Amino acid sequence: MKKLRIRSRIVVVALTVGLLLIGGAISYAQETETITITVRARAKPPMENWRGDNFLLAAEELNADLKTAGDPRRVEIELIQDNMEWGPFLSEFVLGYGAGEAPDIWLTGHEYIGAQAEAGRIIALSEMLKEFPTFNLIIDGLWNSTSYKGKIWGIPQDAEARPLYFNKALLKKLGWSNTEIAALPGKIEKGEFTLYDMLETAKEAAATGVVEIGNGFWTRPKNGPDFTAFYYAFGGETIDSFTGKLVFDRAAGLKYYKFFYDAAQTYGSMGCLGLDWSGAWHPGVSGSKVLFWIGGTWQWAEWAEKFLKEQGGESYMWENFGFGLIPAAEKGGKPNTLTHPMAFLISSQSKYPDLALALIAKVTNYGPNTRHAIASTHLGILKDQTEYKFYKGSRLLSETLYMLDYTTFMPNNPYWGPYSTITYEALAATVGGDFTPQEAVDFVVDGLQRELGDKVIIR
Amino acid sequence: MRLRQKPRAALAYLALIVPSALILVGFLWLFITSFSIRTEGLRSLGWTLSNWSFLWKSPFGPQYPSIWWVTLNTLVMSLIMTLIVVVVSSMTAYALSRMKFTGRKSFLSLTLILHAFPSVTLLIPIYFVLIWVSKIPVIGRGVPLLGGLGYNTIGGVALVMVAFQLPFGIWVMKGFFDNISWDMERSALIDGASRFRVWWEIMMPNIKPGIAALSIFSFITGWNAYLIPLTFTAGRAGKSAVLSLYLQNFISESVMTEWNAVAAVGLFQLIPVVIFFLFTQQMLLNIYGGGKKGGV
Repeated sequence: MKKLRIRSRIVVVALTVGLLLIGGAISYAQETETITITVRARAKPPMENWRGDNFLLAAEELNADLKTAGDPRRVEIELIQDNMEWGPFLSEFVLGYGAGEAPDIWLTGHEYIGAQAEAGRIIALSEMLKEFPTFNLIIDGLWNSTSYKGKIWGIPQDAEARPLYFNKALLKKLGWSNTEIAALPGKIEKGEFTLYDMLETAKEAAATGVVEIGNGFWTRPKNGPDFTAFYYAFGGETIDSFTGKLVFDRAAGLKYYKFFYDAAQTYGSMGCLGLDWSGAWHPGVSGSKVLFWIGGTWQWAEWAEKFLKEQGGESYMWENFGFGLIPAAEKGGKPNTLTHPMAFLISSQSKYPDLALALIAKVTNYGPNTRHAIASTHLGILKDQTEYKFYKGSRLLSETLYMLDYTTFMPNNPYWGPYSTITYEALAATVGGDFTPQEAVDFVVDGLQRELGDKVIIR
Repeated sequence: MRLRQKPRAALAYLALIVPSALILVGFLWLFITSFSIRTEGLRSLGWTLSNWSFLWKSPFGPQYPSIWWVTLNTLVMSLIMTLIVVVVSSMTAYALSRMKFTGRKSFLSLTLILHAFPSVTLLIPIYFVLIWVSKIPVIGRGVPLLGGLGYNTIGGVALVMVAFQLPFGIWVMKGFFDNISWDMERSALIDGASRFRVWWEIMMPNIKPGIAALSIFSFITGWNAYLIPLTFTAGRAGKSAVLSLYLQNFISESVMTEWNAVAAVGLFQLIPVVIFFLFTQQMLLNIYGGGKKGGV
């Protein structure tokens, strides 16, 4: 009897607690509304994971802000982050949008802004930005990369420089002294060491057997933004600031193609086009088989983490690799580099763009951005970030930040894709010896006019 | 006589062993590599279990889905696809094999034409179909485990895979039905059995090898599917990710591929197929014995 009474009491207590919990949950659900914000990011793991992971921390902060402000909404993040190739990554967004399932926040290359804005898949942010003063921290010049037709469509997420790397050990084999090697970045910056000086050195290295023929100077193995920096170096322009149309400059184009023709045919360089990235290109440059090469600052982390970890990672690299700007085309000219910022875009299908932007504001701050910058060796995007205690800890980031003063961008134009493809096809044919520089220019002019008509200005 | 037979048998064995050995060496390499730090040919330069660490932690970061979730997705998709393909193919093939109706031949030709289409040419029309399905309440996006039958769901991918596999399934099953004697079926019909009962109780038990063959082909097709899941789901690490997409996370265009880890995931991906094969091999071997054991 006594046992029965105890059991009854336990049952009553359990029921009461259960009812209270259910009641509490219902009451909380009525008071708050949980909203899922989908973030789609492309990141090379583990170096670039902070691109998306920062949002998980940001959501906690935002929820605290919302609670304090008496806003019943709470956010939870659905993060989709992988290292998909750019083509499928773009298709996925377009297909997802067509199905009404575009992510709220899409982190992508800034050059897609033009096409996506024209298609109405992303929203202009110019007005909304005013509500979040954090965005004033972003380096002013970077906004150019996310502007299109006078409006801002994206928030820069990271930046990088694309330096000319050189192998110190190979330069020493060529007879360069430590002082000469240390002075090289400065000479490049002053325009004293030009692109053709680089080719001469590369030729000498190949002739003396320091590197194999073809390995004096390498670019990336496939089409990409780096080539545009060379076209700029020879005085080329890609966009007409007045009309917003794409531009191809014949005279600059001729010099650009002549440089690559000479590099391959006369100076024994450019044995890189068509190589597999991970199978041949990275092992080539990180394995000290190449004297000069164009790469990105982010690749520093990849080499340290993936390719040279056993040799000592960064310390080995500081000993053996150096970097400077992409040299000027002519003596006394201005060297350059190219930055291809990633940008947060907000889909026009997002039901809560204000919350999406609030989350982006949270990750656009010294702490989160520096975490990503250091882990991935991307450059910071915020004013005075070099003064931030933890940013200062990265030697590479500190030593390459000056390059942003010389940086250039690709244009935000919806027709950049075919423009880039045609100009690269001509370059590949020139390097392969199938086109003379003039034939390459003619091919580009014909191709651009055929594909883009009056959407491109030929000068 | 014996002396003459021995060299013949030896030659036959040799002809079998040489190509089999090549395949076995491939599997052996896969096995050794998956447990090695590095390999030189078939020689391990150090043993490790670290390549298998994807079983208990995501190698790409905690935000990536667990391999077990991805495996469950793949299993559900492959099983659903196999089930539908086998049921629909066998029903359709039975009708095409045993019944006379207008348009029968045209239907058969059409299925063949459908099979001839490379899947890549149909991606866009299929996409629009999936979007349309997505908008149907519950079926589109509200089915537990499958997610639904629309875009970016496991069910949607399974549905598309079924469509691609059906022509093959129908033709294979029709071949099996064609080989079954009419007598048994006629006796059942005379005894008053319905067409459905004849199909289920008389015909189906007689084509078990065919069912096994189609099942394993469909299962393997679903299990290894890449293009369809890549196109109709979001991300290699999304909630609808399948194993073939997950494996691609190890093989990137611009980052060094860790082949030892790829070998381990590849081997892991192989396990269910081997198990499936072990369960169905007895029936598969009977295909060449002329149908059901004991003879039709």
